[in-house]
Amino acid sequence: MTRAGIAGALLLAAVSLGAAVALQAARDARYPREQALERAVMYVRSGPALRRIVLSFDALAADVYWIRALQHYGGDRRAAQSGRRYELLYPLLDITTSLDPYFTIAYRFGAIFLAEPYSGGAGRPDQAVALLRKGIAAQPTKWQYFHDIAFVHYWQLRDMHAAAKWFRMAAEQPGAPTGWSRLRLRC
Amino acid sequence: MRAISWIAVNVFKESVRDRVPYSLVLFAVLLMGASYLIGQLTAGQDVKIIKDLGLAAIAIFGLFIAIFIGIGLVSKEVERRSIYPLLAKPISRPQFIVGKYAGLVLTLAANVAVMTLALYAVLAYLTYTESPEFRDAWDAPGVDPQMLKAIVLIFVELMVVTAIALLFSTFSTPILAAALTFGLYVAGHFNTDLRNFDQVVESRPAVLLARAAYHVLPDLSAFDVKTEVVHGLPVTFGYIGTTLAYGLAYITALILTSVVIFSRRDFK
Amino acid sequence: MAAAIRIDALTKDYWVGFWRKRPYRALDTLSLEVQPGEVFGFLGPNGAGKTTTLKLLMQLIFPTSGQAEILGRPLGDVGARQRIGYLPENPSFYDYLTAEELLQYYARLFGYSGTDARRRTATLLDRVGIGAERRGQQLRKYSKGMVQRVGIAQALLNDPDVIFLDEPMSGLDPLGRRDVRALILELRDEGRTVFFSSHILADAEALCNRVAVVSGGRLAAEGRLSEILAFQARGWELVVADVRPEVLARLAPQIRRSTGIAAHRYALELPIESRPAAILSELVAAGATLVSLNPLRDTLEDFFVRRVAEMRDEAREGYGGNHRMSGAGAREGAQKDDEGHARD
Repeated sequence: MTRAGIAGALLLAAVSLGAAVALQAARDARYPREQALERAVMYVRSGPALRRIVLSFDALAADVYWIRALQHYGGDRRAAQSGRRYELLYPLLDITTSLDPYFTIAYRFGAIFLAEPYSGGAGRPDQAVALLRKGIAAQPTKWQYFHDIAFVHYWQLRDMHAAAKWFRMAAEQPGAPTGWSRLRLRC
Repeated sequence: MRAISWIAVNVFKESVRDRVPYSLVLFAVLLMGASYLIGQLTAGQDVKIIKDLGLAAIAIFGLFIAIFIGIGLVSKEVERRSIYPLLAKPISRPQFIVGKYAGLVLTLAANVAVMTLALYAVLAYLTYTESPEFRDAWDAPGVDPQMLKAIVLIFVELMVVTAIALLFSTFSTPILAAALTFGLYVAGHFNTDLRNFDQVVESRPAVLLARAAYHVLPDLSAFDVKTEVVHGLPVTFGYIGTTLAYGLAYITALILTSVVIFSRRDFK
Repeated sequence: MAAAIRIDALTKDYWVGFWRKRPYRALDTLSLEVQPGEVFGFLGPNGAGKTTTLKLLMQLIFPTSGQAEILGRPLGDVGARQRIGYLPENPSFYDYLTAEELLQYYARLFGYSGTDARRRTATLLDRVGIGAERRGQQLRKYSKGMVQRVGIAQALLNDPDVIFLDEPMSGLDPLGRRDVRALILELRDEGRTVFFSSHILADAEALCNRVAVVSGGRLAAEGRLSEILAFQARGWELVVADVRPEVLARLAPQIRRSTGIAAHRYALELPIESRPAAILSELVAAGATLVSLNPLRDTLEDFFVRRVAEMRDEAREGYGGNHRMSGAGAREGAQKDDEGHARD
């Protein structure tokens, strides 16, 4: 092949790649990928099932789902005025934590995303508590989860009684900050 | 053009002599065995499961053929030195590359066609033996021409994977080429996650990097409409059309790059 | 008439080494011309650059500098390949094909129709002596010699004007070598140009009009065999019987070496400048009988060993010392020393 031929082929290759990118962008504009994510979650709602599917790469898959959860949260938060309601947030977090039951950040931050009042978050404190309870099931002495549940009760549900109960339980767990046991918690 | 087609025929012949068609037997046995076992277990949903399984098997068997033959397309000729007498014939190096690619695409087409027929045959049998009440509960008819949409997209995806394998085959060893091709295949299926990066990350360079990767890496997840088809959800021709066009443009870029690399190579 | 092959200052550097790549000159400004109808022997020890040259001519590798023409067309001209045949060194084909399928495949690439491809295939398999019972077997079942024959057949498939054979005798048994020699002479008689490389000199002596000798990537000698060898003739060999020792002793100053073959029977080596007729008449006068008188010609082998050694000395003394760069050259030289000893 001559120099000119090679230059021509390279140019054509670049043009083809450009065309591919343009087509990809056009398709994404017409058939948004958000939908694709929804479809993905719709059909595999069950974390345990997915865990089988991904073989031994469950921790890695958990990371992927955690990133998807973050993207979903971030995307809907930005587009909140358009009325999107974080509908996939709980399923995504549920799958993430089923794939990796010790994924502390997914429980704690996930609970915050779920518990925040709507537009800033999903406004679903009930789901936040369910997620954290799932974390406690996996690690029954993790004081942070008790503490976070207490906060959900305190801030979002305004149930001081329950909040105090969960705070006390948090304080009883090993490794909890020692000052807490001295806090006076009124029931 | 004639030279290209003879090179392609030779690739096809090699795959047949290397017993690639045995994979089809395995596919048929898998499908029939599964349909028998599942028929014993579940009521009414077995057709959906067979569709899932059949489409996944077509994709995976095709992937194995595309990667394992694709990585050897060029490097094997170089390794066994059969490239020496071949390139002394009146064919150009670009013709050689295109012929090799066409040959593997031909092999894949034959394999996918046979697997498709086998899948439809099993589905026809299941539909025929199922009672009408159950059939009414299905999301989509048992013998559903819509499935061809998914299969056509799988086939084009395999063409993209083949072009990737061919590209790596022009300059690296088979093992490295296999690893790279498989890596790109996996990356291509997680591509959507890269695209949505801007929804979580504020850093502009990171978003741009993710965007660039999204566009440059093969967007393979777009070819996957298996779930939609099995559940009878609409897959528009517009979507299929743009995705096919995307695939062909991407393949053209890969082949041209392979041609350039191969045309400059010394065969010591 | 235009040359069949014209090579002009062809040079090829390879880059060797894994981390720190250094150039290694495999071929150094080689220039040659081969006329139509010639059988041209391209000779040299292993690693001299023969295969490199042939690969350059086939465009399997690209020259660092210089150029070449085959049949008046520049290298890389796809059309010219329609009239060229090429047998690579130790050829290897698709072991899943039969000999027939392989040749038909190549014939189709040359543009033959199906019928013509089958006919050409049959003719050529006949010509290289592959019997009908073996033609339908996959090449994986072929011996090395059989594959070599198939290789020769494919090089002649398109009825080429110029045929390049890289070590055509390798892998063949004595019978096969004889067949190939006869074949090359046939090709010459048909008016084709044959360019073949070999490290076996007897082949060249039996076949070639002209030869070129390469060593260390450089042209060491080129010309008619008779020119190269006659120039090197170094004496006479006189075999006589019934010679008494005292006669021999008297003639001793004129004889370079005498070897007793049997009782009273000697082989005498005379220097080139001596007059064998005078010595012979003196011997006959003393009662000896002449058995034979022959010129002591250098064989190509002798020439070869000496010329290669000379070139190595030149390189060592620094003449053209930069034709090999850095360490690679030194190693190559050492390797060739070993080969030289083996030949001695």
